[in-house]
Amino acid sequence: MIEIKDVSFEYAGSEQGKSLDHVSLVIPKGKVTVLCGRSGCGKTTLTRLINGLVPYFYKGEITGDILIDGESVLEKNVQERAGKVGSVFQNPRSQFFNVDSTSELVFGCENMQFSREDMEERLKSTTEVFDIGDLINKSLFKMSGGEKQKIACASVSMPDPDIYVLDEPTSNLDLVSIKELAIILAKWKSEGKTVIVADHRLNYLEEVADKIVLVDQGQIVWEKDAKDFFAMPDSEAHSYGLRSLEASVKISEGIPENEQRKTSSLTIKNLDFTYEDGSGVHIKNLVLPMGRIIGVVGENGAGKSTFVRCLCGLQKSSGSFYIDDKRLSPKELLKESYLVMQDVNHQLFTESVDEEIRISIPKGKKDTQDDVVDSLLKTMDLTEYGKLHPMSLSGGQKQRVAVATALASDKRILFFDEPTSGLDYEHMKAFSERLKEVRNAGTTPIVITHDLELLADSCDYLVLISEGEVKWSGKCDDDTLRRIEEHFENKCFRSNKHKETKMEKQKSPIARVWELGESGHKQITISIVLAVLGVLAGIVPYVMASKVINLLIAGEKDLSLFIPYIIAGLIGYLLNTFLYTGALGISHKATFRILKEIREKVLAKLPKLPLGTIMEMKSGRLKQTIVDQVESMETTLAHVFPEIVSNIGGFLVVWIYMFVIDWRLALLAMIPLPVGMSLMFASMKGYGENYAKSVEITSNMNESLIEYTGGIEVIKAYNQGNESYATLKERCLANAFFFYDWMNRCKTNIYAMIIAPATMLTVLPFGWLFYQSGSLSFDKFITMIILSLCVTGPLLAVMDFVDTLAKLGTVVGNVDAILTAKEQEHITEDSGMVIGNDIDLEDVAFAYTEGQDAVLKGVSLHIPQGSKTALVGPSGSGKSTIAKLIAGFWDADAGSICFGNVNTKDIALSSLYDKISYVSQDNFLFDDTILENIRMGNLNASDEEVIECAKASGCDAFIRNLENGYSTRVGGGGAHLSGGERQRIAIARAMLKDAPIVILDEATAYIDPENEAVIQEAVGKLVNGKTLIVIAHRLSTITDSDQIVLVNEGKIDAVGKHDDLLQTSPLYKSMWQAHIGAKEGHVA
Amino acid sequence: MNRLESGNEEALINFDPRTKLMLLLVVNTVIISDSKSLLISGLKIALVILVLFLLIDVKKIKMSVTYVLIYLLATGGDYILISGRINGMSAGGLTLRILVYLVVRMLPSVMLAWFVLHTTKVSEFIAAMQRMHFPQTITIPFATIFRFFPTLADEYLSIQDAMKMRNIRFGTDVVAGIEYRMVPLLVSVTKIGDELSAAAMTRGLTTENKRTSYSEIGFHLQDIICFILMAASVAIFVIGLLRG
Repeated sequence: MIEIKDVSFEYAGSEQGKSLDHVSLVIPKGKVTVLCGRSGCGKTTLTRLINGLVPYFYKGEITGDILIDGESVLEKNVQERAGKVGSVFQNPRSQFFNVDSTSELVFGCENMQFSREDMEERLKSTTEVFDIGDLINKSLFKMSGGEKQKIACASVSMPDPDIYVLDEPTSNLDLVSIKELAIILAKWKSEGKTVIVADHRLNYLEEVADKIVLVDQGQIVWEKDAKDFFAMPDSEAHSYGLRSLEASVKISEGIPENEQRKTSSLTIKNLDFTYEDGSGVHIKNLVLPMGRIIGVVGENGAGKSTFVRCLCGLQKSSGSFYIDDKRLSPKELLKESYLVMQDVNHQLFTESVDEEIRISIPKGKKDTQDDVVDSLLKTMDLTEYGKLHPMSLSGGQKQRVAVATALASDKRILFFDEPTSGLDYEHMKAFSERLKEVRNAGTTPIVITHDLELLADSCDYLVLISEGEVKWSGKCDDDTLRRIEEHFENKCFRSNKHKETKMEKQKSPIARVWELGESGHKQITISIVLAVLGVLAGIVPYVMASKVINLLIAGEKDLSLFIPYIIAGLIGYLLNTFLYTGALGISHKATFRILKEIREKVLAKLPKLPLGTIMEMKSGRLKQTIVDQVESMETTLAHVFPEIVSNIGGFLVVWIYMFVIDWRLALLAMIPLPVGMSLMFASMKGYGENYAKSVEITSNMNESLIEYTGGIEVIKAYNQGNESYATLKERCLANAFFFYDWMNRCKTNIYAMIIAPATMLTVLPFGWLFYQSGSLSFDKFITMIILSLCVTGPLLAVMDFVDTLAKLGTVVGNVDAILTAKEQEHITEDSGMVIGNDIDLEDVAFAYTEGQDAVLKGVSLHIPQGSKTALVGPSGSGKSTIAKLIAGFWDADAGSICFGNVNTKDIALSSLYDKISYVSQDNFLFDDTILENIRMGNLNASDEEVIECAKASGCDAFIRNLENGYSTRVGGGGAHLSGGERQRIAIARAMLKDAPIVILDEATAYIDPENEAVIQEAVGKLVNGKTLIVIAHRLSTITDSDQIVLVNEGKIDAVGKHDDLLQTSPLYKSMWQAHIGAKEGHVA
Repeated sequence: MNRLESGNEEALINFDPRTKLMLLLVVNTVIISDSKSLLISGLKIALVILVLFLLIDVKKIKMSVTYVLIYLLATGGDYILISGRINGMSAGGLTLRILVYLVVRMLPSVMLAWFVLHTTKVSEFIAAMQRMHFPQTITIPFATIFRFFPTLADEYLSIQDAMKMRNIRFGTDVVAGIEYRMVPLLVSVTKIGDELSAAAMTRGLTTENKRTSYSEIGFHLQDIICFILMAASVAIFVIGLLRG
């Protein structure tokens, strides 16, 4: 609760007297309180009193007291209140301390010394709550007004204050953003926060406000309950200087039709302007009537401002503009038009109002200047201010001065950018009158605004701009205003509905590998250090060699002079070798550790993936990624860290040494580098994609090779040898040609490899020149030649790595695809809740791949414990999917699946799987004995129990007939058992598991009649007393079900018993008849 | 009106703010120094190229090309002056001298300063200064200046527009032209500055308390390389000075 007790305040140096005059007010906790009143009534001062800006920032005389939650805060300055009170201001331009959104969001938290982890957490939840994922890490300067205000609200809520103070938050917002703001306010209110809003616009607050306070001349006139207040007729509201309370506006008076005025027109054709970021305006043809007040509306960032800038010639654009039939260039347009900016301060710069008008009068009219100035001062109601400095005037007066200057310069079109933002009713009305005066004076005013009230009050013609295009234009009447309101309504709906998912920026593969291989960091660092030392040592022989050569050239014969150099060179060489091998040894070790870690991470991830996803992954591909591809990273990885670092370091050291010897040659030696590099990059363009493609083409070839050899029996039997071979041949050729072609395209790469390190190309001729001119001594020349040779080695090595890095990228991408795949959202450990066996699906929706068509669209279903439920329906109707979702193979995208009253998401996956036996048509048998294969159902079962189950499921007989009975090994995939036998083993397994819920997914679909009887009997025993869910095509097998669920196109068509459905569902009936018919046909 | 290119775009290589400060210090010292030493002239060229790489790093290709062209032109002018083909004391010669001097001495520094401003987030800057134990009373005003550059540019562009509409150009009266631009600029900047400080205060910004930082700053490979380069530059610079 905030209590303001008899507070009076006067701004220091103010001439208007007290801004607050004995104000007492109680602002209830957890409610939304709205302060309203005329401009300058003191409502802003009240908000400042709460956040402490008065009297700590805006100084002045203050008496009285203010209490927050019973504690006087008058002694607390702004910063001390910051954690408790969050403030949102009117002007987004000046409330952001940072240039990018993320910094701005965390700014408050940083100031209040939150920990980094805490900030991260808050940032995450705030981003979610405010739905600003797409605005994170963007430049605030590039956002629309609505987006900025959203960021402002979100930033303020980051430190989670108890009180929110908003000072005219809507003055720069369009209708869509205003609605979103209302939603934010409602959210705060629902969290029990105290919200205080001071604003001119009030209608958006109708739903959320609790209490309205009218302020006038620093005093509180009345406090009203929101309900009573919004019941007030507009006329009464206007009498308090308040804007319309109605959500939609009406034309208040008929517009006088000026029939006599000759209808001149402004035509815009093929206007096309696009910014770098792709936004812009595109207008094919637009005709605007001159001599009317034209309103331009559209959401924030729709392109209104750009449109106007093009139209008044400030922005050059492709497009033609005509007044009547006369075509105008942008320059001529600029002469005809004048833009009154939102911030009028930009436009006034002289010493006095007189002067301001005078300099605008065209040269030709200089003699009548004084008269013009006088008459304009009069029309604009400025006579008494003529001698004053423009900056000393109020906002409205400044605006009038700007209009006067425009009129003085004989402009024919007058643009206004948001002229009424933050104006109360009377000032808005006054502006509207001024517009009419301007129009009647023969000038065409064009107003860009979000203020529908102003439009309704004054405009003759409306243009609606949305997403850079003119959506609609026409006369302004009630109908058109409705249309505009509807437009915003739709926009609001749409913008709420789909916010695009943000793309995560892909990290460079090296950085990602570095992240993955945390445990190897220390070793890698050591190896880098060793490698750098090694390279440094490797330079020594070159330096020594140049010394020796110089000695030789000098004709030195004394051997003892050579020996130290030779020895030093030798030591350098040896050191280089040892250090380098050492470095590589360590880094290889570290690499294997990293690879192990990566594999472990992948393997640890697999169980967390939806079962369905894993089943979809081709096991071959999975193996290739985990084993082969990860393996292939080894060489690259082991070499990349020490070599790249040390080579770049070595290169630099040598180069600096060269530079000190002779800077000219050192610079010259580098010339081939950029040339070679650019060639290199040209040929490297798309290397990553090419590599990815090569992997794909190769694996295609492999696939068809395997197919060909694997299916050779069938191919021979059906004599398809030629055709199959053709496919294989084709793929092999494609593979070959792809690589051939690619290599061909990489020819430039070879040039690059030759040119880039060819430092000699420049060093030799220029060195010779310098030597000739005497500016380079011979020994230095020789040293330079040798050094430039030793620069090339490291460079070549680095270039080699560019190649391997691309490969690394593909592999890391594959690994990451697994690591970042969507996990199932289940708790890992059971909370010990009692989980019932009734199954309830509520409004379940699901799609196999995100963004694709949903397979299930809102399925609700109740399956009681112990009942038999059959899912039937045409193929692809989603019946199998329902069963798999129940079994927990995937999580539902929307809706809930409950066991008893517990959501499956609150059940650990292991317990969930314990509850369910899932028997499908093809059952995997492990390469193990039959006994063990059945025991899979329950690893704790004894041999006797296993055999028991085998007997019950009718397996016993055929198993005993096998060579080794129960210890017969079932080959890969259980190859030498018949389908029916395998099915029975699967049932035995399920029986052993003894789960309360059994799902039979077409379990008996393809079984011959002989087996069917046995299996039916086995199933009968299996499901005894359990909840059974059957998916069946053979409707005759499920007529006895407790309920039959007819699924069609992802929805439940009908539920009931067999007889009922035959009566009520035509689809079921036709399916039944088809089935019976087929059966009869079969028999016949 | 989103005309302003402003701050914090992704660079290929990101440096720690402290590295950038050191870059500024070293590059400016070397570039502005007035030494006839050939070694130092060479160093200057190397640093000019370094600045070029930094511009390319933030993918400002157009800007880098302009930068190189202007610099080459100025060097050409310098050469003409040195060769004595133009009398350095004549009116034209003096203008050329001033221009050349400005470009050769200032342009790389200006470009580097632009790079630093363009790539450093305000919060990164504050965090870096805090790590170096600068008092907040110095850091905060500097940070505010950082924040102000884009605003200043934005405001200036608006004023420029206003001038165009009033048909007031620099050509006729330079002094009035400057005055007409400065007055509104100062007025709006003061106003924005005021509102900005008020807003920052309500967000708890003080000069007394230490802040925590969300942006992670720290030295990485690129910073180390940069440090090595700068150390080498300083070494070369000192050697050059000693040799005279």
